[in-house]
Amino acid sequence: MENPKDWPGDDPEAALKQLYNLNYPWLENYIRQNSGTEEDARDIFQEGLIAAWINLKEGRFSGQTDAFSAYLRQICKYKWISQIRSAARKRMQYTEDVSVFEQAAEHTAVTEDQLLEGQLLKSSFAALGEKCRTVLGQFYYQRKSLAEIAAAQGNTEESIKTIKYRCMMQLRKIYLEKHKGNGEV
Amino acid sequence: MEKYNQEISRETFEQIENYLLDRMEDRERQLFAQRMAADAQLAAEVALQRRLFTAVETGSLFPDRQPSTSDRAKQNHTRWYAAAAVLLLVGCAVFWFFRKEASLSNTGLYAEYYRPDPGLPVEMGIADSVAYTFYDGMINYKEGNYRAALSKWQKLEQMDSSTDTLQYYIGMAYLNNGDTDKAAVLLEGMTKRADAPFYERANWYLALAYLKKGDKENALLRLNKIRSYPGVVSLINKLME
Repeated sequence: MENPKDWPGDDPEAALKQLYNLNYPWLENYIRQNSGTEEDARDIFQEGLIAAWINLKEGRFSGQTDAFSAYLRQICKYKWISQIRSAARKRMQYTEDVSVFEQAAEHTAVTEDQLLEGQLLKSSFAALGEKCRTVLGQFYYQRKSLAEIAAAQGNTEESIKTIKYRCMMQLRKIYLEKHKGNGEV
Repeated sequence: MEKYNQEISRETFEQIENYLLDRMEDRERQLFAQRMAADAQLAAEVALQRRLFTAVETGSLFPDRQPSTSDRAKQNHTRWYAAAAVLLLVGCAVFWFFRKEASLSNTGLYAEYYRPDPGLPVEMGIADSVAYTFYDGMINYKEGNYRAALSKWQKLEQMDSSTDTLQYYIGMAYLNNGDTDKAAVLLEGMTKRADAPFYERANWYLALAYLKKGDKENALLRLNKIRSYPGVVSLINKLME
């Protein structure tokens, strides 16, 4: 069995799509059965995935691919239960025993801070302009070369490099400001 | 000492990027790791950039922009106001629909034909401050940050450094930003002389601006001046249907 730490390598797109295909349908079904919508499922999956992905990249998760999927599911489940228990969602019906909440917390080793981090990173990226998101996605997610991106946009490689740098600095600024707003950094 | 610098240079960013994307030779990687061990701020910056890369990777998995959970929480608070506003709007919309049916079809054609001008390739290493500011704004324009582009280009206008190119791209920035009236005023000025540098393009975008405003007559007037321009004949035919 493949070690997930080797997945991202040169192809994060393939690794993340694999995780999505393996886990998203399960999560959507789970959330729909527990008072949520498809939109909730997408939010929770994205935030849970960031938290899990950070832990993987920063060496806090070591294990095999199937164990990583189970880990991701637990994080998402934990996040959803946490959300529906919050005051705004008190009226919702939850089909499982709430003691699952505590169990999930123990097993995921993901803290509220890490989940908040996922939320901040997700909303920071979403706050960028469309062009920035496109260029950064093509370079870091699809791992296209500067030459490929430049050719597709009728631009020079040097311009794309400059745009990429400036977009990353914008993302950095947005993220640090959001963190400050949460009393950190 | 602050954990992070206010800004990081492009050189530092590119070194961190090469480190994180595993694009360093072994020796270079070793040296960089030694620098991180001795420099807590650099180590913190590497960790920060790793997280930002994660944001890009995971954010790109869902390319369409999703409102965040907190955004949606805010939406919930305003739901009742929205419902009241919707009722009011429905009344207005019925009235508006019958009055503006024709202009709606024009707006549809605008959406079908409008493609933002992609901007000019950015020239690097320019010493001249006017040209530098222009290309700096052009980078903002290409990023889709039209407000930032406008603020830089308008400074050039105030410095009497205006050119046809500058005027044209200010007009394009307005148009892309949804300020159709301001764009139309600028583009009008560029369509007076048939030998003007941006004559055809300015007429084309001016026609589209009129179309967006529901002014079919003025749109046709502009289009008929540039019948050989790509897309013009087909748009005229659709407008005449």
